Amino acid sequence: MLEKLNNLDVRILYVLMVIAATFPLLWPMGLPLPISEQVKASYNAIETNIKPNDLVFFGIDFEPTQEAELWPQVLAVGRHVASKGARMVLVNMIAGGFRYEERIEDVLIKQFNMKYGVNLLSLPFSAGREAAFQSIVADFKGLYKVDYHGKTLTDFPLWNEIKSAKDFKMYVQIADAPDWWLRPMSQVKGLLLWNGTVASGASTMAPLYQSGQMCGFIIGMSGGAEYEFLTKRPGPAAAAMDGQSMGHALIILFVILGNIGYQMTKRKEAEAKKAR
Amino acid sequence: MIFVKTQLPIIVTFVSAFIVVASYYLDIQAWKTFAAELLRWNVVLAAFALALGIGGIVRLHWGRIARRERTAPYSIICLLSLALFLVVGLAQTTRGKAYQWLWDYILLPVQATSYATTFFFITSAAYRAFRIRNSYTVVLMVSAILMMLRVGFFASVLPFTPAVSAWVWDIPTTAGMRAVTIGAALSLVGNSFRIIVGLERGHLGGGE
Repeated sequence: MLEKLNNLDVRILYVLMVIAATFPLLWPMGLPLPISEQVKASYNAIETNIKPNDLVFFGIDFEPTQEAELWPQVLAVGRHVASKGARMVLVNMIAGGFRYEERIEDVLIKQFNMKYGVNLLSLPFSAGREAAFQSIVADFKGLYKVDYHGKTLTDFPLWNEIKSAKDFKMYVQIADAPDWWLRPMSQVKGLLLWNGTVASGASTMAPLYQSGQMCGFIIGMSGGAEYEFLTKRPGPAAAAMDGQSMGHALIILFVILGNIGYQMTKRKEAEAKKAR
Repeated sequence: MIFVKTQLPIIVTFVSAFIVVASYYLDIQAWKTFAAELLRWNVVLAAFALALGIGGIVRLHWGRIARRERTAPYSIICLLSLALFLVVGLAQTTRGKAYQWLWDYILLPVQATSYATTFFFITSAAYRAFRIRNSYTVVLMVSAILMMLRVGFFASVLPFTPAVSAWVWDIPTTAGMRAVTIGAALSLVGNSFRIIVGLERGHLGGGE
């Protein structure tokens, strides 16, 4: 009987996973969510460093595939930066990021009364990734002529107040893991770097946070959920964390059951061999 | 012709790279300005590369349709989708209502769904791969379970897990990744140098 656990039909696994993940979404369980030290430190990096009128680059570099993990981060961190009274410049270097740039712009204007062109600007997609970031470092004002909405940038007071990338206090990058933004942006003297990324790619960025190159670093949906709690605005990530916990529980359970089945099969095979 | 195909690109690469790299070491404003200009050209070239990518996709899928391969129906859908997004995007820009509708109700659900299916593959892979066959699989299984217990509900009911998994994350994982990053960076420097001086010519369409 127990040997059957060694080779379960994966369809059973899939059905149970769907139930485990969707049930808490439909009927939230309100499972406790502890806040990790790393997320607390990342929150404090914004809380203590950003003062009213500071300039903050806000990079949104991900495609819809990563929406579930990264959009909650954009919302939570974007709101936090805005609540500090910072002037924000939204940038995106991945073609799919523009829609999230629009969405967060909308949220910031409606919820924080930010004035577009005065304390908020959205810059359009720029191709080239690392080269584009390098261009921001070398000549930020030369790279862009129009904003995301196609309007001439010199018409906006905020744009005219900025001289170069050195004027910015912090670069917050919510991206699907690559470090191609960090190499150029770390060349800007005095610019603090802050990153939110997906769970699957976090190990790439972890050494850069550990070495102190980044002042903040949150990971995946759990990072977003913890940040939502710190900003006292539970949102989409917090709602999905029950599902993630249940999913993890089921995976662990199946790993244990699979191992019991595997060991039983091995024992039975050894006994059969002995008997022959 | 050989000069245009091989020697000229090497000369252009060498001169461009020299100007940009030297701008880090020379405090000459005119030099820095020209290097910044070259970087902007790079951004323009990258935009052209996107257009070139469209050409590549069309050529690949058109070939499959012409040869009536088994996957031809998918290629037709791919090309029709490409044409639809291109036409609507060019007509309305990405800020147009129709483009945004396509994005919100077609592209987003399709991409999110395809990514969500990895959830099932990971579950299935975890169930099959984390069998205690030898000491390596024990390390793999224990690490994976610790990472799952690191966040959410389990971190609150099993108070020792955040500390243990943080150690796994901060010491062996990060040390390994740091080694990979440094190794990759060194090889990037080496390979870039080979391209700049013309020793590496694979990108020109030939061998070394």
